[in-house]
Amino acid sequence: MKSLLLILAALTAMPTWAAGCDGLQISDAWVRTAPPGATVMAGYATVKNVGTQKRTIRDVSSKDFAAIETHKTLLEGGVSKMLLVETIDVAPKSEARFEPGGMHLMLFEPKRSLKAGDTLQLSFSCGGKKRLKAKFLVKDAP
Amino acid sequence: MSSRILTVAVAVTAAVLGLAAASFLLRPPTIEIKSGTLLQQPRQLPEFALTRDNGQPYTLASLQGHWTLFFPGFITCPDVCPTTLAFLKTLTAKLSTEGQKLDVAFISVDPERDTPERLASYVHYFSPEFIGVTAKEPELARFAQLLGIAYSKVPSKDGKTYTMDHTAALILVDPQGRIAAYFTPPHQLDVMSADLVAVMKTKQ
Repeated sequence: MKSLLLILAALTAMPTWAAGCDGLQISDAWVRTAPPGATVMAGYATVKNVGTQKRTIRDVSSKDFAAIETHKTLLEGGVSKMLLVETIDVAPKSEARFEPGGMHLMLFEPKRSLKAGDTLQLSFSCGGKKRLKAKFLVKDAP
Repeated sequence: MSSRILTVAVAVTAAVLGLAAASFLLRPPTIEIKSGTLLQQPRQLPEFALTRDNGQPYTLASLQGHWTLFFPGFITCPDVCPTTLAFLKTLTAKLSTEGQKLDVAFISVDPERDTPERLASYVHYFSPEFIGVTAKEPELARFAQLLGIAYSKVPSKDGKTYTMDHTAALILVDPQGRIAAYFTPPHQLDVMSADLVAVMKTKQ
């Protein structure tokens, strides 16, 4: 009975997973220029969900970086902290924002030197096989 | 008799008024700042031994004769640190148009990774005028405590790397090597530069 329920649950969950990041739109995507030899960079974007289903970003990757994590800058009792964000839920008709001083994409170990004006691709996974690819522009911070 | 009482009364009143006027005129000028906390009594820093980005010693003597703004951070911090350093570049430029010179010292709380050489290329990327300082432990911990900076190492989930939690305030040190004020985020350019001009002009 328990396993039947699990199968049922898995089946119900399937459509969402199979749909990947369907409904998500990425805009204002940019990466901050960094000093030469920087081992980490930060990426920012707005992820809008124009669909009718909740989407959950589970993983972000790019061939230009060794690894990508989502972090959130927190100010707690006058101390600046970094919090790892494992998954990001984007409810229908809402958006998730990656912005300076808030949630941002930590881009570890750039594999080529990136200067203002360069573009690169980041790939978002919401589960399932289909990934959402987005173009990020490297630029100096506003 | 009554005229003597009157004379005494006048004398007492004059003395009281005189004292009040004197205390008003002689009191140190008090300034209110909106972007942080101004110490009413600047706090003298004792001797310390940090290392500058060029490998030279950075000591109490390095603080003499000019205003310094300390910014605690670390290089492997791609979000807040670059944002703040870019802000400080705009801020110091704005101050210099008003005839005030403010030196910025980025103090790395991550000496394990942030060697003087790395600090140099990092801070100079933002401004050739900025300097980077740090020290090996336990001297860094001692200096940080003197400056009122807290920091701690936080390992990443996989344990392969780490990040640093640290006090987000900026610390203003006067030309005598005394802590004058703390500025707390979010930093606003106009408010903070007006405050700094007021402090630097009055407490020269």
